[in-house]
Amino acid sequence: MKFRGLLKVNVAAFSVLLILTLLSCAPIQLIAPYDERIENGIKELQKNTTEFFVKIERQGGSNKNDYKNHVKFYDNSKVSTKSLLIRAGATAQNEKTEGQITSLMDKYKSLEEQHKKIGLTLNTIPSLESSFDQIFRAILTLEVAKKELIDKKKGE
Amino acid sequence: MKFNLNINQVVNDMLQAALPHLLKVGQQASTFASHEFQQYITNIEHVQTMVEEKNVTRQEAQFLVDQYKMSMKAVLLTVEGLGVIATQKAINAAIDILNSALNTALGAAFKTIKFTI
Repeated sequence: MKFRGLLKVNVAAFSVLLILTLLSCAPIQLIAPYDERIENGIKELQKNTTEFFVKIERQGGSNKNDYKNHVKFYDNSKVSTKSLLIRAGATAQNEKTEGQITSLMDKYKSLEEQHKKIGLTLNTIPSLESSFDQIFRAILTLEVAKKELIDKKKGE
Repeated sequence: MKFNLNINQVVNDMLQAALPHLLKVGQQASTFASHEFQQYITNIEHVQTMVEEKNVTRQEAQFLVDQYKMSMKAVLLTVEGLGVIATQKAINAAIDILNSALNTALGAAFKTIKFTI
């Protein structure tokens, strides 16, 4: 009799423990969530960079002496990418976006060095524009894909 | 206490729930990657043509190729990221099925438990 009572208690305790364990089957997260400020920041950089290339194209290229007239563009781009990098780094599991923004920073750095030392000839502008478009597209594609994870959760 | 859990059925349901996510995002990643890789090859070919036609110097060509390489790093990270997103969606869809099956099974099991000693 005492044994049966003890068995019932153990079964109940086991069940409660099992339920608590199973309820911990929470959704997993392998990648940082969507960040609207990263998306908007990249869109803003894309706009400014396109404006820069259009300007250079209109003036028929830009030699190294003309570099000083575009320092503001490089400074603004540096500040914006650095801010985005810090923001991306502050979120866990965001290494991919961080890596992308680092590549974007490297591109601006290389562009500025070329402009300062050699200048940007008219023939290089379409290729440069296309390579910047490619990196902006890559970053936005990943961010928009993350956004779909949020939209799915909201829909449920 | 009867545990109404058909493990084979649940495993099958979990797979059915996970697969569409892997396929959909896998397709998205593959479309994106093939477009960008094609674009990369076209761009490098164009740089080569510009060098041959002496429209750019060798130094400028190297600079442009380096620029494309940096963009490609970001492209590859996107492909990798899309894969991670697909995995996350698939695992969570499977967990949803598992949770729902366990809740149903435990609900039924609970009814048969007598808590009085």
